[in-house]
Amino acid sequence: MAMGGNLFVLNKWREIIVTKADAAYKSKGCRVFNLDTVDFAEASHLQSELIELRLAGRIPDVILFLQHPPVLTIGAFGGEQNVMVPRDVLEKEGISVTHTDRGGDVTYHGPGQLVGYPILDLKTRGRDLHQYVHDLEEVVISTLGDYSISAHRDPDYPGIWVGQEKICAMGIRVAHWVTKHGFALNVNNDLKPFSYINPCGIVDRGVTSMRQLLGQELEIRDVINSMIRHFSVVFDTNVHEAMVL
Amino acid sequence: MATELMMPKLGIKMTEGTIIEWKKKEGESVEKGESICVIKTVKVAFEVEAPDSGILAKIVAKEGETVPVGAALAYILQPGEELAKVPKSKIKKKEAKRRRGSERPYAVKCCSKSENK
Repeated sequence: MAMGGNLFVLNKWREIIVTKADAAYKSKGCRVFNLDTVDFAEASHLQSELIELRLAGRIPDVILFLQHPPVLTIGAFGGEQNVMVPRDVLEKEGISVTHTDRGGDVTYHGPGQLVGYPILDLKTRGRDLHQYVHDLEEVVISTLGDYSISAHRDPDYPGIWVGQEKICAMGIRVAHWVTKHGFALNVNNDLKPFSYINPCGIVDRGVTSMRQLLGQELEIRDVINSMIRHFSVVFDTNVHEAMVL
Repeated sequence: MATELMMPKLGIKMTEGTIIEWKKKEGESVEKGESICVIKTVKVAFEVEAPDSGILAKIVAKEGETVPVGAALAYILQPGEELAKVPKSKIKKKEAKRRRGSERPYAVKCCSKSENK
């Protein structure tokens, strides 16, 4: 798998996270980092490194908020058959395609979509995957509730839905009980690239975004703030954001 | 003694899981705590760790198979050890089913049996 190549950026983030996370570790809190835009493969690599550090006890639980440049990602349960458009067409539109180890099938990430990657040690949280997924879904649903968007789970399909349309994709991997990957909430992003795929292998449903539902562009920063608030309640933890920029 | 790798119970509500990928082949050596297969439950990809070091001797749950919690996935042997005939996977699966539907306590079953007598 291509690694994205920007080791400098990666090292910078790792260093910052280790330094800034130290204080939170002592207070047993959860540290939030807003990384803005990071390439998908780089973010994946960064997460793997953070998982190692989490397992070694060098950092506390961490949540990364970020956005990705346009990319279609094929999860561990998915296949190329759910990418409906030839690669050269995607290339022309500046969309790359990559395989990933997260749970789930195919999805799209792009600018204006808020991605959240919690690196949590579930050994300290009851070792319950169902509870974790449920809690993470709850954070997203409550955040949307702050914007008067009534969202729900669907027993048959993963993700968070508004009516018959998906607003948030979930894709998670857990190794040694530490979580990787997370959710991707459509805030302001272009929804057209979803027409190039069967999102998560589902053919008979649509997608939507907060912008589409509310008829206006939103401040991603506000959405993050709302999410942090709900995260600390649902996960019953102190969430501190580290100022990094 | 052969060590049985079982479908783990990864949450109160988990009843079954699907094998997504074996990261090790039959005959390969594994380290205790090493990820040896990936399973899917509640939309999550979970890496299952080897319960013991040894040789991954026999995989009984293939990729794509969905098996109940507690069912045998594979057997790990110590060097020089042999697997006794075919693993009792069927028995294990039955056992797992019983464990899964454990709302009916085992003791009650025994009682009703003795009542029938």
